[in-house]
Amino acid sequence: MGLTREELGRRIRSARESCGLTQEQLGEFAGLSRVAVGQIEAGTRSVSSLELDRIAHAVGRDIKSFFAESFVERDALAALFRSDAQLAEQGDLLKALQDSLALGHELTNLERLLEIDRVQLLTASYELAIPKSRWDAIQLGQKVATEERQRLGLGVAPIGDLSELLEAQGVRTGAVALPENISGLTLVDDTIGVFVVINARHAAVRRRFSLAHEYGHVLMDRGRALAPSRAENRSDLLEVRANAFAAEFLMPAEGVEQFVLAFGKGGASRTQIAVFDEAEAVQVEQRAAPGSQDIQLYDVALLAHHFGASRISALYRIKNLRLIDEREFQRLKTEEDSGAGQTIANFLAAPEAPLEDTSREDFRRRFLALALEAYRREEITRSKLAELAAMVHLGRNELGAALASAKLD
Amino acid sequence: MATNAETIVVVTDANVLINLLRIGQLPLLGKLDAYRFLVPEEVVAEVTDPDQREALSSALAAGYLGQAVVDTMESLQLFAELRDMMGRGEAACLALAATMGCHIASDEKKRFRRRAVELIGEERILRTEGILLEAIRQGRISVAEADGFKEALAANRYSMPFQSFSDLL
Repeated sequence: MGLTREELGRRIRSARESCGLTQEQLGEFAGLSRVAVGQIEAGTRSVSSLELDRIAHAVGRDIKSFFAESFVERDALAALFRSDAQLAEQGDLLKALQDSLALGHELTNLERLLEIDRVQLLTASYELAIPKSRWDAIQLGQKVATEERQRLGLGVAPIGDLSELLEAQGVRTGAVALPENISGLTLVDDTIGVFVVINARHAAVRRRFSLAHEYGHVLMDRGRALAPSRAENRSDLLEVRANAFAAEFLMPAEGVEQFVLAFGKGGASRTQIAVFDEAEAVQVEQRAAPGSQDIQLYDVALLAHHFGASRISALYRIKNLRLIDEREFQRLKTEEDSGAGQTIANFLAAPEAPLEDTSREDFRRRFLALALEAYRREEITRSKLAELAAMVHLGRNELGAALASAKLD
Repeated sequence: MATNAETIVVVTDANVLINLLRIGQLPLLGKLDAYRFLVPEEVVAEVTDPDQREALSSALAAGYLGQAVVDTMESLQLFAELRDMMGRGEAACLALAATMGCHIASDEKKRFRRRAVELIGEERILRTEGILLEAIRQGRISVAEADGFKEALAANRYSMPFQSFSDLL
């Protein structure tokens, strides 16, 4: 038996309520009055396809979900709303979330049409209790990062394309313009799987850190209702743990130490060795030349460039690894704050992000490639292709030119 | 909308409307006897060129084009299913045509046409050239005029697979 209008109305109300929208707010998104939304939900007014399309977008759902045999009452957006009471009040974030979910649904659909067997979520899940203190959170985050690096066979080397690594683990990644105070968020539901979204407005090194931070949440907090990662929440224990994970995952302690030692730095200024011959010991002392072990700002620039991190996070990393003391840290930070770090990085051709930073475009490129392939295989129409292209800000003229040059027109 | 048993109702997609707008022949849709052309609201939204939008609005206001809405449960469900593979306007046209048992006017080929044939059958799909041919048959335009339109559309990357409309008569 087909769905009744009353049942469709009930499902719309359930979807609206589960993501904390009032009838008035939903009406604003769908171009309807509060009264009309009430009538639709009660099944006393029909809803048009245009209105239903907008309603689905507003509540972060695929329009098909309203007609599914069994309706999923709570989805990714509902989970986020449960975890973050501020969400409904932050209109720009809600819009970004709606756009992210729409992209997630279309991505899922394209993979299904192309019969791409989306890898199961391959990531390990680290069952951890809530940390008791910030210290505990840092230790746990670092430990999980080390284990995850081992599991992935990364050794102590820098990670190249982080989003590619996550995708290979079955985690979808995307970049969407989020409000300035949100670095990233993780959406999880049965349709789109695990979808990590980072703030496309942030600089490349920050986006990279955010991606690692969200990956930390995926590994350690998957079972919890995950709130967006906000700047003002950075002291929360789960955020501290995810940050510690990101730092260790991107710049593993052993890798950093090896890198610094390779420059002949980071050693003690005086080293003593006792050579024992089963009767007596001979004391040998080696003194480094004064100042030779001091880490300079150009060392920090090279370290940051090597691991694809910011100079400031590299600076904190070597301080935390006790490769520099507080006095040296302050000296280097003052130099960095004065702009010297940037000058040195330019001189060394060692920018923080890879020279050709394409991470912002990674998702767009992947999404468009899938859409083009679906069009080539005649799984979607030209008009659908144009809609998908518009979702990642590609205009009709640019699309037309791309199709012509690829001989797909 | 006033239709009778002999009237063929045609739900019209944006590509056909745009073709007719390009050659200034949108009013032809109101002049064909026994045809009633409807435009879903999604299709209206897809006509974005300001001059074309104005001409379409005038046609809707004059009443020779009717506006259609996908709002029955059956058509909504089909619309939702079709959205995976086609644009909003196409999905609305096909959902309406399939559930109302009427014709569709669309120049789309490949995936859309395959699905349209599955849902409503080939005989209920009209193309721009089919509309111009019907206009010739009803004496609304001459073959020479139609061939001129064919040429103008070819310059806009829409080609018809024949030399002249006279070949079809």
